[in-house]
Amino acid sequence: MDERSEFPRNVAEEAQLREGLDQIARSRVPSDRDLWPALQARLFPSASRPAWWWRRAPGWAWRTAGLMLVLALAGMAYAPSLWEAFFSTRLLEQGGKLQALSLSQTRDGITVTVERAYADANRIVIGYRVQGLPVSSGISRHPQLTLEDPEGRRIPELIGEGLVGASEALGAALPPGEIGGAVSFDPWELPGWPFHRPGMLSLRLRVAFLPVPQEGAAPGAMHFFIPSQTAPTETPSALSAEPPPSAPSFVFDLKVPVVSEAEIYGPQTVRAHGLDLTLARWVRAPSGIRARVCFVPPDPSLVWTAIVEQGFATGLEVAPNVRMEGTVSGRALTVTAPILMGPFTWRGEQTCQDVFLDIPGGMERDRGGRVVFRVTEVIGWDPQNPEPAVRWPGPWEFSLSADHQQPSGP
Amino acid sequence: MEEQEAIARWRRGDPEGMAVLVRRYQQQALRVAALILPDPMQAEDAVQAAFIRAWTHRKTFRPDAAFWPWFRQLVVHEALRLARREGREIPAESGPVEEAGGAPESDPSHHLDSQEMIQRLARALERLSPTQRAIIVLRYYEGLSEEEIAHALDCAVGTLKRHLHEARQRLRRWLSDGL
Repeated sequence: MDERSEFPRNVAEEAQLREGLDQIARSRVPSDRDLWPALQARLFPSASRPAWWWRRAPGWAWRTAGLMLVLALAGMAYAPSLWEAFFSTRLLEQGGKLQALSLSQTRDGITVTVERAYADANRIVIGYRVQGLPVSSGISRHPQLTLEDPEGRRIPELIGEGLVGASEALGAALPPGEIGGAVSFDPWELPGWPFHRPGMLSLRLRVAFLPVPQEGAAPGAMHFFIPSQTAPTETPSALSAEPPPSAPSFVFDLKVPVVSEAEIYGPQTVRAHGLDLTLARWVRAPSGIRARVCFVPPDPSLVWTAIVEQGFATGLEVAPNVRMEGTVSGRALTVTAPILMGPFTWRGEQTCQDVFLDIPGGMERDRGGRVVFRVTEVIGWDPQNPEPAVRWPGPWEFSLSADHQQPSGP
Repeated sequence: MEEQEAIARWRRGDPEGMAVLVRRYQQQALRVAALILPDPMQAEDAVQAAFIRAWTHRKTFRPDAAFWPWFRQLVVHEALRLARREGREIPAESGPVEEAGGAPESDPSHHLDSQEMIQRLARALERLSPTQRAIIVLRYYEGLSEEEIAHALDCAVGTLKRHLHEARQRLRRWLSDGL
């Protein structure tokens, strides 16, 4: 570089430039400008709002749930840590249930650290952090995690969350060049799950990086979601021995203790308006409630959706994140709507759908309270037509009592 | 209120702590933003957005760190975001730089203390891309090292050096040529 062709080129010129910049800056900014009144009005409006709240959007699907969940978390700013910021790890981290790890590998200047791992009857969760990712013009690299059991079968991904830079919605920020994320995987396709689970899971985690066009050139101030690539099940066994789509850069062998705490109910079959619907299983674990409903569709050529809700008997304290719906069928119930819904998939003649639901705080304190799981309607869709082709009314109501509880454990 | 106490109260969510920090740093922030965004209204928008971001992200601030470097990064990011949204990137930024006519007799620094040269410097700055402006401001107004700027802008040091070199060449040529 020929410094003679540059300005500034020496200390004296640097001082002159600094002085020139200062004069320009002062000429553009009134010395008495005070931003505080405007900021105060924006940050602390007189009508105070709750410290945090929860918003729901009914009918979320797996493939769009990621973005919707971030929007739902808009009020949950100020989370003190990354794992408390992410939707999929917040309750587990706050409950001290996530296993803290510090498994790091560095290659070509990129460091991948597995910081959290967790498994229970409903979910396997991996929390990771990446440092030193190069950012080339217009291209960023997003981590892709794949998880395999000891036989090399791929465990389907349920949902992933991630953060780059700072996210106001998540209330969290990472230093430049870092990515943090949490990915949930589906253990229900592992042999024996969810009824019989090992005390310890041996897993192989592969982390690869996919180059993707960078949206928005400004560093930081964005969050991203890894779309769920795999529905919970596409065949009776969704485990695949196929290699991941891109060559892995990092491989971790993990041993993850499986939290034994779980209540499993089902199967139960209820008939409404001539249609039998089966609650194949309903599983309450620390990571949340997950249920699977199945039925033989009246028209197998259609794509089916179930409208699901869940009620908890009266006398339980309502958690702030639980939607309250008053009375249902003459009984006061606390009702939660699904937070994640998978697509219907074929299992023999039946079509089945998995749903995830919240665990209300009151329920945590009063296990054994009666739970009602209800499918209010199933809807058949012609893939070529946005209007429902068939609306089959319910309700199919399942009362989860001790009679229907299944033994479970290692 | 001392700065440390203000920071502690701000981190606890106390508006009084926030007020102290806003009034202590708003002028400095507005000046940095005004050098990157020549439109004073945009500069003010950028600083307001940075303060709001600072409030929402206050838990990520390390208590042992200095406030201004952390906040300055927010200001620069917001200013660049606004500049890019307005499409103010100069296409020539990534292209080759013409050989500057930086002969000793056309030394711009000889006259930089005159009002005419200050105006010329302001126009030269506006002709730089927002990124190059930010780099010049951080390097020569804020006195950051190249490594610190690269970290603040989340780019490689080599990339930063190339931008800085090009920006300095352009400044020399534009100041010498009278734009």
